[in-house]
Amino acid sequence: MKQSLSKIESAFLEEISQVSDADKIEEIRVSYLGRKAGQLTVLLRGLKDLSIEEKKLIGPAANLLRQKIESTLTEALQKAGSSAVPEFDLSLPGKISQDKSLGHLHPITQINRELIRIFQSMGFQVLEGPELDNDYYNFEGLNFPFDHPARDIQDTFFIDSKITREEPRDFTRNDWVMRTQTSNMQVRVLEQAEPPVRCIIPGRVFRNEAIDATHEHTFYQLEGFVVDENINIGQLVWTLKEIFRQIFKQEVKLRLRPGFFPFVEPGYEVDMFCVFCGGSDVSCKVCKGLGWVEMLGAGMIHPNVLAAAGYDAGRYTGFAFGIGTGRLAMLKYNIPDYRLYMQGDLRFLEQF
Amino acid sequence: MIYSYNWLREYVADIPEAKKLMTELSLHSVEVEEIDEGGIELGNVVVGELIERRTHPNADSLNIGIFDVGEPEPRQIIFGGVAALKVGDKLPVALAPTIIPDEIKIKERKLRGELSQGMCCLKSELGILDREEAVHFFEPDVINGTPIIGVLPLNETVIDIDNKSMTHRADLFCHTGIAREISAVFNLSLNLPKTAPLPKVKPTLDIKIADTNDCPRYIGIELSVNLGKSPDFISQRLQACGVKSINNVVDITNYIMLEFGEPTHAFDADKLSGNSIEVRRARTGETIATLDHETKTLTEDVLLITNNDKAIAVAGVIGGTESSVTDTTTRIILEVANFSALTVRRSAKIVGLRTDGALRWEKGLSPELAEPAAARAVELLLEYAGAKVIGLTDVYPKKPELTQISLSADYLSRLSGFEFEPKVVQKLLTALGCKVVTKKSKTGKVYNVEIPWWRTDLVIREDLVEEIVRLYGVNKIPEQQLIGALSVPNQDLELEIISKIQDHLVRCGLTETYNYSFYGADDIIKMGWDDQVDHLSIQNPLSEDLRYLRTSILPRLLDNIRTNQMQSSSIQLFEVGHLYFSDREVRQLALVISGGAEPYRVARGLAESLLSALNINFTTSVIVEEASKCPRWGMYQGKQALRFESAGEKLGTAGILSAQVQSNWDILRGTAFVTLSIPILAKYSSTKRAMRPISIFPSVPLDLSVIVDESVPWGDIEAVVRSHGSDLLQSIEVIDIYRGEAIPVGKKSLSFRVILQSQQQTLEMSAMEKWRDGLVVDLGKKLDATLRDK
Ligand SMILES: [Zn+2]
Repeated sequence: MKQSLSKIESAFLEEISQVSDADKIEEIRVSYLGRKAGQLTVLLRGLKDLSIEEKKLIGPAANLLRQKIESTLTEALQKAGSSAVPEFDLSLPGKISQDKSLGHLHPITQINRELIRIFQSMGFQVLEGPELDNDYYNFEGLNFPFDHPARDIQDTFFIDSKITREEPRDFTRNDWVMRTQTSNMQVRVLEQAEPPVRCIIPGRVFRNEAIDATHEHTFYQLEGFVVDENINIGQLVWTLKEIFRQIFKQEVKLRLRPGFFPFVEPGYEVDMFCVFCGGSDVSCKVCKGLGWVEMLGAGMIHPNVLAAAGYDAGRYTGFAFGIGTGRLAMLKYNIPDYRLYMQGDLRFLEQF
Repeated sequence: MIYSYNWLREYVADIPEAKKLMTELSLHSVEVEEIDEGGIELGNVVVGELIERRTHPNADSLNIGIFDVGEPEPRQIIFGGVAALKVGDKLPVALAPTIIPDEIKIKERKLRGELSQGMCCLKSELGILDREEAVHFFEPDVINGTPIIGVLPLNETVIDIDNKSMTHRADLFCHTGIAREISAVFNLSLNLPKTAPLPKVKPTLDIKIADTNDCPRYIGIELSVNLGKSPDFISQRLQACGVKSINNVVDITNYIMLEFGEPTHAFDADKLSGNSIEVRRARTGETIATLDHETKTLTEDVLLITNNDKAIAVAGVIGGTESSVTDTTTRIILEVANFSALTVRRSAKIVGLRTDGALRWEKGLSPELAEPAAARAVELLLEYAGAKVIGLTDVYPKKPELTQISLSADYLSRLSGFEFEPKVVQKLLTALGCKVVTKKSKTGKVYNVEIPWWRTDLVIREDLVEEIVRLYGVNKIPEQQLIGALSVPNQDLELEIISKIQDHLVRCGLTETYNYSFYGADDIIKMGWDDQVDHLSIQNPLSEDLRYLRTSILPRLLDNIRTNQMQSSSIQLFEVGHLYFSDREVRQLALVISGGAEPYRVARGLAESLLSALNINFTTSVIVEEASKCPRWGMYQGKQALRFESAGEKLGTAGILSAQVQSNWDILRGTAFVTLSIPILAKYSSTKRAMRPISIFPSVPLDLSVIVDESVPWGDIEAVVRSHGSDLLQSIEVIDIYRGEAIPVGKKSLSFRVILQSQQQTLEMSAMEKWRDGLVVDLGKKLDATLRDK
């Protein structure tokens, strides 16, 4: 059987080397691969009568030969300049399998994944936390005392139904809110953990605000915090710089300004120097040529927050920061309107 | 808050130019939103006097005026009727040709046949002062033709600072406060107004304070006054800061607030009876008519100023109408007091007013502030309101001690990451008005810092770290690599599962959406659900369609189908998100398939492939309404659902959207859905995988077509095949369902393929045939199925 294969092969090569016009080549094709009486076809048909061992031996070799004959024939046809070769058009659009295209991940999922990948490589734990939370974790434990003006900074959705969740602590008030910040996880995490703690919380937050192109009542943040024995401002700056360097794949310039957030002391607003225009383009959508772009809030965790988590005063220090992931994705992907995230419009989603 | 640059210059002579001030203040203390340098080009707008007027011959609504504008010849200017002008009035006149704000070009032209050589300008047209639709009239002694820039505070530079950025800095809500800050940031000398001590006169009021926690201090000063206009410097400064000038007494109280940050209030003494003032909480139901022309009903949370038990002001928030200062007032009681932040905040909430006064009190002001503020008020009233002090009563039971904070050099460097030189610390804190004593202890240097009374926000050592770092310049702190023990945290299993789900479904062609966590009662009804009462609700929703917290992702996904269905003939979406219940919050996956051939089979196939990808051992069963009570059957076609479960626990369901619900949402095409619970998926998703041996013997496909009653579901056929199974059966797959020609009415033909394979030997044709014949008999017996002829 094997011998007949090699015989067929040499005979074919011999014949094909002597012809050059398309009709002759087609004749050779029929004589070897023709459906009824092609020499190789007949031989392949005979395979079924063989024992399994023989099949294993001959089958692959026979197949290989068929492929070789086919490709030699095609080559010969091309040389002959035959119109028998099917026309092809490389400019036709690509498609994936028959009638299927791939789906799309939401841009917020994508920016979160990018951030999570970077933070995980730095040893951070990723958590999401509840979106409906007790006043204690969203406000009081974060040093927003009840009825304090600091609370006015965040317009809050309050829940008027009774909540009966099992929680790790007793609450002074059974007041529940849609979390206004992913910082609601600071005390939740710290009271269960023993430093060193490195954690990020990507998630959805809510504010009772009228919506427009830059404001949504439902939006996205990524909170991060690090607590250990000697965490300082210099390390906060380094960490943030490293994150943005990774996100934008280039060196970045950051600057801090004093900013007020009750759960940090000192607290800062962090600006990044525009990586899109370098502060030189008045028509830049990101910075309008001003250079500095407000990116996030950050600071050293307030001792009251560490106390709420049950740590001894002065034992640990830590930093925390909150990145607006929706806004970051707007910058990165050139999205002009925050509302697009929540409208479920496929013309938007299919671009990602 | 808005600050006048010129006013600040009075306190800080070397104040930096506006742009530098803006940048450096933003970097060192508070966020300057905007500096408005005025910069209005009004060179050709001058003081003009109307010397003659007549009506326009061709237009009743227009007038012709002859104006003396300081030129040799008067000008003729046509004007409308917005302001009633009379001969002798002096007002701003734009001389043609010129351009006034908003790029309005003024040219000589004919208006209905009469020449107009300029324009009479309203305040709004010049963009000045309060920008009213009114004319600013000049005093008769102003010379005609004077450019108005010289006589109006037009180019007053104002600085706008974001209130939110100084929520914690009560001391900054005034000019002296921000001046003090500027002098510290820029290291400039500070020259605050020197006030004389309070006049030594006899107390004339009988002041009672019910609770000194609510009101630690109350200075009541009785004065006789001559009501009138404010001097220009006061009214112009008020206007620059956006406060309307009313009369000298009221203006001075406002001026004091802008200057020192102390809200004060003047009562008309003649409208009070007797000399008693009591500061007490309101009784529930007590009322007061306030200056905003409303009558407020009060609760015990509200702190009142009362006279003979009658409410005359809501302390720190707003005065009462009856005791207010009017044009006829000749004697006042000036209140310069101190109220607790929390009390004023609650009062303001209850009366529904957040006045400029309340805004300052709720940040927390020191009772020490009352004294210089009172002294300054008296000084201004004596000078500009012809006042005489009749009596002064100061109730101040307990002067608070100054705050002392001790900060170790070690903690400062530990938190900041920078070693500050002691003399730098000393200098920076002193610039803020602190007194610093440096001590040596066993563990290093310690700074004992006495906080000035106006810095009520400095309480703990971290506050001092913030002050030192920001004045020094936080951007000068060298960055340092994050170090610490390397630890590998456990990651959240559910988040990992979600990531796998997203990848799997996107690979299968689905697109991920994000929808609101809220929907409305209408949406619940459209879903055909009977469980609105079980939804948690928002007390203050933005609108009714955002009142309820979602207990399923489906409603908004269906809405996504509706809004997208004209774009594409088949829509495949999914979302993973939180559902909210009273006792828990869980994550759900929902996917919808709308349009295309057999959406249900696609949806189910996706769910099953996903469960396999997550390595979950699962079974499926069709359940019907009777077997399982649930308020949500309305959305399932035929009240049937496919239930996925693992180890007896429900993972989720699949179903076809009922025709009713489909039409409720205006969905055009047949739609199927799947919901799965993420925590349950996480529970049963196994990380264990064991490879099954691959048989070395060939597998044999066997196709069968059987005719059965319409009522026989595929599941029954599959069950018979599987029970007939034996070790040979590898898999079953539906190929085709056929109704029509050659099939009796009420019957259907089901074609399926089974793959048979033995692990021990090559399957003999006879064994296969035997298996098939036995199956056909079984199917015939159990399901009355017959083999369809080919
Ligand atoms: Zn830019």
